[in-house]
Amino acid sequence: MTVVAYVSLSLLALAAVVGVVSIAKRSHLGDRAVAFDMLTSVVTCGLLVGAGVWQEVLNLDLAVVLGLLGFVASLTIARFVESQVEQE
Amino acid sequence: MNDIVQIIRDVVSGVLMISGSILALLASLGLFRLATTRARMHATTKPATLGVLLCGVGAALQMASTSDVTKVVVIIVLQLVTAPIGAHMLSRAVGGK
Amino acid sequence: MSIRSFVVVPRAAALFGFWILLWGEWSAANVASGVIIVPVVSWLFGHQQPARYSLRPLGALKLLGFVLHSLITSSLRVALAVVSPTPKRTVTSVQTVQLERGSVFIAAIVANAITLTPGTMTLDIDRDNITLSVHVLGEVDSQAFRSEVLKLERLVDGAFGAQRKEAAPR
Repeated sequence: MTVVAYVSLSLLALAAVVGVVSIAKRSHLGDRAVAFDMLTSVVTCGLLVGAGVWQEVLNLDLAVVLGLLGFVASLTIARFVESQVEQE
Repeated sequence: MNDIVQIIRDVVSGVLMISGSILALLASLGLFRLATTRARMHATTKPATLGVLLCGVGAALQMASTSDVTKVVVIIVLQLVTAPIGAHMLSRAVGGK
Repeated sequence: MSIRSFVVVPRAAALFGFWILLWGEWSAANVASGVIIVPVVSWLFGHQQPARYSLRPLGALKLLGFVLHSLITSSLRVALAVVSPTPKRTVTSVQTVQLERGSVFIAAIVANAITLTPGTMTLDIDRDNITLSVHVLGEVDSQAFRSEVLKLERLVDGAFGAQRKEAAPR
């Protein structure tokens, strides 16, 4: 089972690195917001894998909170981008 | 008998979790390769949601108590419902093709 | 009770069942705290929400199966567009579809479900004409696309649609 954990967590770490590089590289705020949304999904996947392999039940509570807060953050950034576009 | 059930459960969980991680990696690569912002939102909603679903089912199979399985169901439903709404609001704000 | 009729679940029962599931066991403390918390939550947050949930179980299962199947297909299509991006796979367009059932509730559920189907993502809903604007990734034929969306609307209506007179038994 730990083999599964190593393989999937390394894949997810790679996905997270690609996401962070995407946040740094893109110039437009909307692109960065999409990359941030992707990062929350990747971290949720990582928490679920950790909970499954090592019976770490705390990860599930963390994943719920991350889902809620990540959603609110996405919406807030979307509103902010909208108001910025209106200002121009 | 119990041993075989345990092995099958572990194998199914492992396969689900690894395929979920592969999908998450594909979604991240999609952020890079697709051209416009709205096309990148396609990558955020579809493979990432399926990845969370598969990882969640894989984790739920390993959980012992009912409350843990319910929490996994809550996580999956949260991801399934919030991903399209977030993409919709962001695409309205961003515009473009 | 025919299998095509509604299952009506009061919201309080659904919340209470969910509370017990989250705690995981039927102990006295869980039941007592549930009986106190469910009315408080309903009073705090539930004023404008419907007090009863109704859906058709068979239609809901069919919708769930269709959404899962299209989620898998759409992820594979996005993966294909990422790994080998030909111009046919990465051309984007915006299509509009007018829905036929005339209900905004159904249109909202269809809009969310469209985002999970292959190649499509909802951009906007026009409330006056019940028209959806959908962003499509990849080459698409307008007529085929319209029929797909209308098929999805039929499925959603089969699960959540308003009460209609049932057809006469054959």
